[in-house]
Order: sequence, then structure tokens, then C-alpha cells
Amino acid sequence: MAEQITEPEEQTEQAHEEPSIVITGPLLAVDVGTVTTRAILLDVIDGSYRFVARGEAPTTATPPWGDVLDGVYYALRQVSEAGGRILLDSTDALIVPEQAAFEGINGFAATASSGEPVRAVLVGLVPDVSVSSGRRAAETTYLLIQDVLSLGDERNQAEQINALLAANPDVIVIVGGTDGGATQSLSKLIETVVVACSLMPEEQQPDILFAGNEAMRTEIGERFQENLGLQVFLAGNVRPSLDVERLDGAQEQLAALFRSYKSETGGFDVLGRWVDAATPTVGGVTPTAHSFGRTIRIIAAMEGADTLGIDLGSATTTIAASVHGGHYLNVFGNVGVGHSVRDVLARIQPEHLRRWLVHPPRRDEDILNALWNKWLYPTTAPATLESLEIEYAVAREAIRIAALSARTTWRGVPSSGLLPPFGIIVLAGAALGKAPHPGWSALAVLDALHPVGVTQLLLDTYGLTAGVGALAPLNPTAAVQTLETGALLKLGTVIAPVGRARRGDVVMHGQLIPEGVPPEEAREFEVRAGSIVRLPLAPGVRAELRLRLRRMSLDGRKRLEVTGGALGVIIDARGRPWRFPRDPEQRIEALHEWQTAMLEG
Amino acid sequence: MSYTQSYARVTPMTLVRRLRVLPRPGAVLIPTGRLVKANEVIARAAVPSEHRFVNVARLLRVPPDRLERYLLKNIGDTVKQGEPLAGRRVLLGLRRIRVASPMDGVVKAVTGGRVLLEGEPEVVEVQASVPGRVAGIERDRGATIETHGALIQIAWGRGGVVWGVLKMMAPDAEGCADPGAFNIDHHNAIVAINAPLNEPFLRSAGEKRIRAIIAPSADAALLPVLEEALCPVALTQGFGDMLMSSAILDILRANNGREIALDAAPPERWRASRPEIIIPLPAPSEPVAPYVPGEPLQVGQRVRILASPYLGEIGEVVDLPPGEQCLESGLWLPGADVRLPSKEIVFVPFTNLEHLG
Repeated sequence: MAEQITEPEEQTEQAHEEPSIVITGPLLAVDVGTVTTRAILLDVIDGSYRFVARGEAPTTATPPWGDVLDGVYYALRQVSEAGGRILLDSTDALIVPEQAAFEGINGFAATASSGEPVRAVLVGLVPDVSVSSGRRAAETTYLLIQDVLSLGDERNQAEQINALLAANPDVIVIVGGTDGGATQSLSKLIETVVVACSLMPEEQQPDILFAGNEAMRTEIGERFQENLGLQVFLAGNVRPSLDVERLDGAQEQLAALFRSYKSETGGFDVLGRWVDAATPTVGGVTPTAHSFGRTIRIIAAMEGADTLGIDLGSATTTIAASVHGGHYLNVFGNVGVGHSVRDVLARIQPEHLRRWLVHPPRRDEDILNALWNKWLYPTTAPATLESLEIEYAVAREAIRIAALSARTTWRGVPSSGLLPPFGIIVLAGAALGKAPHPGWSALAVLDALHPVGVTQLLLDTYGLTAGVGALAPLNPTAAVQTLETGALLKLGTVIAPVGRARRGDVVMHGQLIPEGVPPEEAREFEVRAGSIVRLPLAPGVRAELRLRLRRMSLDGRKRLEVTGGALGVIIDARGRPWRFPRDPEQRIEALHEWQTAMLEG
Repeated sequence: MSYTQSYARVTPMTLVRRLRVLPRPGAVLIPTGRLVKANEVIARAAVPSEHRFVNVARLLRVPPDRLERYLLKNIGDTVKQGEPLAGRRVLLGLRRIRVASPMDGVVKAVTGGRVLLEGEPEVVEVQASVPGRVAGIERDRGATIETHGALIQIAWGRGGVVWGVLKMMAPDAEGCADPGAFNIDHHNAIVAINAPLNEPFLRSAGEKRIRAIIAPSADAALLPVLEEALCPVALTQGFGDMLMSSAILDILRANNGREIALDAAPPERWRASRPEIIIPLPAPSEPVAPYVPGEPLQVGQRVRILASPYLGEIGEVVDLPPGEQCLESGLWLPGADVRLPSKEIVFVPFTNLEHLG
């Protein structure tokens, strides 16, 4: 699933994010994830917004509860206790606006990613043009595309009808044709969809989202709404001309559909009413991924750096990127470390996982058994070191799969080869945010992505990224100030030079000179090819790094400004491109060294 | 928070209510209150089969917009294979062209000069699956069947719902699933064995016409064989080489030889529905206490452990220590001290526990 905001992104997004009224005072956000429900409270302290309190509970969307409010109330009670603020009245309704000191809040936002994805069928003309754009638009939220009908489809019309009936979609997304262009080909495909819909039992008939040639809007309305009684949503053409792609209209309609479907799950209707009561302009519960993407954009703008966000969940992995001036959001509804682990397994071989294990089980079957049991019980936490290693092996593969797919939508970035340099990488989601040691998360991301150059790693340990992004439209300053004041844990700066050398050869000599320390007292170090070295540097402390490189390069840079973090400065001298040692013993030895380097201290 | 995220039943006696419904609307055949047998059909529907287009206009050599006058069948009419759908006279009326239906079915649409045929519908039936009383009707869909008995919710299954006699294979032994151990007694029975499954055993079960297999575990590598097994298969513990937990084994042993219902449908990712074994039993003289899921854990509560190293073990909560404790993995999590059947007491995080009712 992918969101690609292209031309004319700046105007469109600014229009969305510029709030008509800025809501001040205490702000509350709730995010209902597949496994965990989180609540966060932001408030003004000493003239600046800060993250004040958080609460967390298991998500209660499925039986025996079947109502997300149980989890939400529990998380809100934790926020109340931690933040010393009364949030609910005697009827368990949210107190809005603030009634007295420490009673109620002024702004509220709710996001969700939990539950079954919306089943969709995509209908379009040319696979590489309108279908491709339609897929990017459709995949901006939690949709699973069950089937695609296009001119490239080799099935005959009856087979297409049978496929549509078997797919039993919640929504059919129709794209295709340029504005003012021919309509005949699309009409033929629409005819197939009309016939299929007419054959479906009334209660199984899908909604229709049309985002194609605008000249066909009337026909769509007549055929689906007037003749069949289906609900039809219209959005701007995703491909108004061959060389222009506009996804925002379709994305908005899909987000609206997501809200509408979510409201059918117990408790989301109440959350939606809370949002409407506090901030009517927001419009109900929004997809978590959209808010996560907004946070990544804010960080990119704040830091003036290309930024990559990875939200690794149980069911879904979201990749948000601000790169080369473009902003992209890709949601992978079947890539995750819990509910979706079976889908990840279907895309890799056991040896892909074994290669990451320092303590591999005797048989590949044992890795498979562990992961199938994880799929049976996706909310479980790894209790043993062996299961933890397997969990992070899956995390690496899930991130790798998602990032490889996401980058194909980034303009100006080759779809393979080294990742473009990112100034910042944000790690989010329970698997990354709640590791027993932040080194596990950092190493998983380094192994999966092989970032190059100089990159700051930020870790969302408190699960704030979705909430901050959701509150940003209410008060952009609150979002910026919260992110500026340490809401995300700074893990440190990664230095990953490009080039390769023989393992063990010295490839780097350097000095780390923390701010305020005279150069003669600086710590000197050398780094060998194939290793990871961590230099202690406290969070937030700036330092100058002076480097002399051999057989590796950092674009010719020899002096760098770096910022410390929980892991200090991480020098990844494994080389780029990076190859695993082929010999199993050497591989395990190397893995052990890297793990030790990242987890010590 | 002393809540688990997972709830299940492993109990020798409870009141079981199960909704059995059609995949699409149809006719419900039984009234509320009626006593039904396990294999009694309670609802039936006709599900359309394949659709096929016949390009009648092209075959008649007429423009699509003039087809209507040549049609011999209207929308909604049934047709038999070979029966004419349309016809017209040519060569000054000397010859007649006819377009025959390629299949039995119903004319569903006429569009663009083509006739859409829907094949003969397939009849889909839903059985009660357990003997009991019809406690409620779901209009046009099915009914809720109510019965007393043992209920065991398990880890994994494949193959749907079956009803048959439970036969424990070597009820007092554990170890290897021996393909040579099947005998005439197991024919057409639901065979339970306290040993991990293997491929020869599964193949032998297919040849011996076993109705279904219940085992504690199987290697995940065996999944392709399990998927193709000739009978439904259910695993009580999960994937690996575990034995059956004693709580489950005891219930199965106590009911060896009784008729049981095995629902071996795979667990559904989003609906918390899972495979289960229902063993109908005479109603107890005292009413059964209702099970209320969603309650916090308490000392004395039975739980199932959902992750290694004690996956599938059923134990009892003996303490709820405050705060978080460190696991071998290095994670700090809140949890409970659980006494295992071996009397060993282990700390297990709430996330890895299933509240058993």
C-alpha cells in the first residue's frame, strides 16, 4: 500500500495542514493499534509544549470485548494518573474544553490501524499508468487489494466477473482515462463491474470510488448509484493527464471510507464523536499511517534533512519518507512481526532468517515453528533470548521487504542499489520502540536498510509519532515543540561510509571532540573493515568528528558535526555495498561482534 | 494491568452456544426450541456457480443493439444446455440460425450483444454440527445451537467441522505417532493421539479412512502435507514437538468413546474464532456458572501459556507480583507467577498468557 504525494504536493499539503483555528491548552491523542492502544497528553510547560503523560493498554477491538473503548478508558486512566489531569466525566465522556485547572482538554485526535483491512478491487486501464497510480492511492490506508482488472488482464469478461464475485470486496476503486480523453475502453471495464455488482446479494454489494476520467462521472453515478443503489464516492482523476499524477483527492476519499468502515467497530463511533466535539474540523478517526507520515514530514522540515520513518507493527509496516523534496507514505498491510508474520514467511526462505541468528536452532524447522506459533498468538512477547533473536530476524526482513517496495515509488531514487542518504531515520512501532535494549532496534534497521553517510537515529519509545502527527493540524506549534523537547529518544549518529575493504583492515582513524573539550583531550580511535564501533557521546551533546578514511568514503567529508545519543556515535564500517560473510562460522562470529558492539553498555 | 489479551475455554462442563450460518442468504429449516441432531441440516442456500458470456449478436451476425428482437429467452429464464437462446432466419427465410446455450443455467443479463448465463446453483447446507436445542434463529442465515458438554479450544486446525466417535490412540502412553497403530476400531473415528504428528502417520490415516485427527503438535514444515490431508487435522498446542497439556488430555481420556464435534477450521486472524472440540454431555443437575470473559486475572485462575519455553502448558496463577520483571530475553514486563503441572512455578508476562474459563 503506498501513498505518493506528487505534483503539486506543497500547495495541497499546506492547504490541508494550515489550521483555520489553532487550539491551545492541553491536547490529547489516542491511537488504537492492532495490539496496543496508546494515549498521550501534550501540555504547555514553561511556555512550551511538552509531552506530559502517556497511557497504554491492550487493544480491545476483538472478542471478548469487541469494543475499543475498554482499552481506551484504561489508557486514559493511566494518562490521568501520570499527568494529574481529570479527562473523563462521571458518564465516562471526554471533558472538552478544559473546565478548570487540570480538568479536561481542549483538543483531541484519534487514529487507528487496528482490525481487518478494507477489502478492495482496483479497476483501471493501463497497468503502468492509471492502475499504478490507483494502486498508490488505494494503498495509502489499510486496504488489501484482492484483485486488479485492467486492459492487461488476460481473463475473459466472465472470468473477471467470477473473480469479482469471489473477491467479495468492500470497495471497488475505479481509475483510468485522462480528463478529456477517450472513454470507450473504461466503459467496457465498467460494464463488467456493473454486471458483477448486479449479481451480488444486496448486503454484499460494495461501495464504488471513482477517480478516473472526469467526463465519466455522470455515467458512473447513473450506472452504480441510480441503477444499482450502490454508494458512489467521486474523487479527482488520479491521472488527469499522462504526465501528471494527483492522488490527494482519492486519498481523502479513501480515508473517509476508512473512517466510515471503522465506525462500524464497537467504540470507534464514540471516539469519532469525541473528535467531532473537540475539533470538528478534523473529521473523526484518521488512519494511523497518515499521522505517522505527517510527523515524519514535520521532522524533515524541522531538521532540514531527508527523513525516513519506519513504523513496524504486528499486522502492518508503514514507511514514510521525505526524500529529494518529495513526501511518500507506504502502508504494507501484510508485512509485520505478529499478525502478518505468516505473510512475511511466504515471501522469504528460512535461511533469510537463519542468517541473522547468533544462536541458530539446530533445524530450520524450529525457526518455522517459532514463527507459526507467533502467528497463532501474535500478541505474545519473546520470553527467551532465542525467540528474541528470531523476532528481530523477522523485523529485519519485514523492514527490508517494505523499504524495497516503498523506494520504487520515490521519485529520482533508483529502485535498487544503495539507499539514498537520509539525515534522520525514525524507528517506531512496538517491536522497535520496546526492545530490551535500543541496540536491538538500531542494529535491525542498520542490517535491513544499510543506510549510507551520516544519519541520526530517533526511537519512538513512547509510541508518540501517530499522536503528535494527529494533533499537528490542531496546533502545529505543539507538534514541533513536543518533538523538539525530546519526545523521541535520540539513539545517536550513525556514520556509514561507502566502499569495501578486506575484513580486519583498518579503514578509519579518527578523533571525537565533544563540545567544550580541547582537541588534545579528544578520544582517538581506529575502525577496522567489517566492524561496528560505538563511541560514547551523551544524548544531545554535540561533537566534532575528525576522520581519515582508507578505501572507504563519506563523500570526501573529513570533519563532521555529530550529536550523541543513547548509543553514542555508531560507526558502521561493514562497507557499502555490504556482503555477509559466506562461511557460516565467520558469519556467526561477525554477528556476535556486531551484536556485542550494539548491546554493550 | 492484570489483563490478558487472549481468552479461551478448556472445561469439562459448560453451556455451549454456537452460531451456524450459511455463507449467503438462504432458507432456515428449523424453528427455535427444536432439538436437533449433529448432522441435521438446519439451513440451505443455492449459491450461484460460474458465469459465462455468449456473444449472441456476433453468432447471429446482427448489430448488438438489434439483438433484443431475436432473443428467445429473457432475463430470469432458465435454460438447458443446447436449448436456443436466440435465433433468426437468413437467406430469405430459407435458413435459420440458432444460438444454443452452452450450459444449464439462468439468463442473468443481456449486454453489448451478449447474454450472461449463470450456471446451475450449487446447494450449500449447514448442519447443526452438535446435537442440542435451537436457541435462536438468524434470519435467512442459520441458527444458534445450544448444548451442555466439555469444550476445548485449541491452537490450530484445518478441514472444517466433523462429528464422530472419539478414539484415543494409546490413551495412557505418549511418544511416537506410529502409522502402524491404526486398527479397525479407528475406522471412521476421530482419533486423538498424544504425540507430534509425522508424515507417515498422516498418510496412513488417509488410507485407513480416519474421520479426523487430534494431536498435540506438528512441525510447521509439515504444513504442505497437513493442507493436503484427506481428513481434518487439529493441533491442541501448536507447532513443534510438544505433547498435549494434561488438562486437555484428561478431558479427552475421560470421554474416550463418546461422540464429539471437532471444528478444525483454521483460526481467523481478525475474528478471534478458533478451532475447538465440543463433547456433548448430559446437562448437570446444577446450572452451569456463566463464563464472563474480559475479567482481570486473579490468583487461582487457570491460564494457558502462549509462548516458548512453556508453549501450550496449562497452569494456575499463584501470584501477581507488582511491577515488571525481567525475562530471559531482557524485556521487562508485568505478569503472573504460574504453577505448572510439574509443580514448577514460573513467571510469565500477561502478554503470553491466555485466560482459561
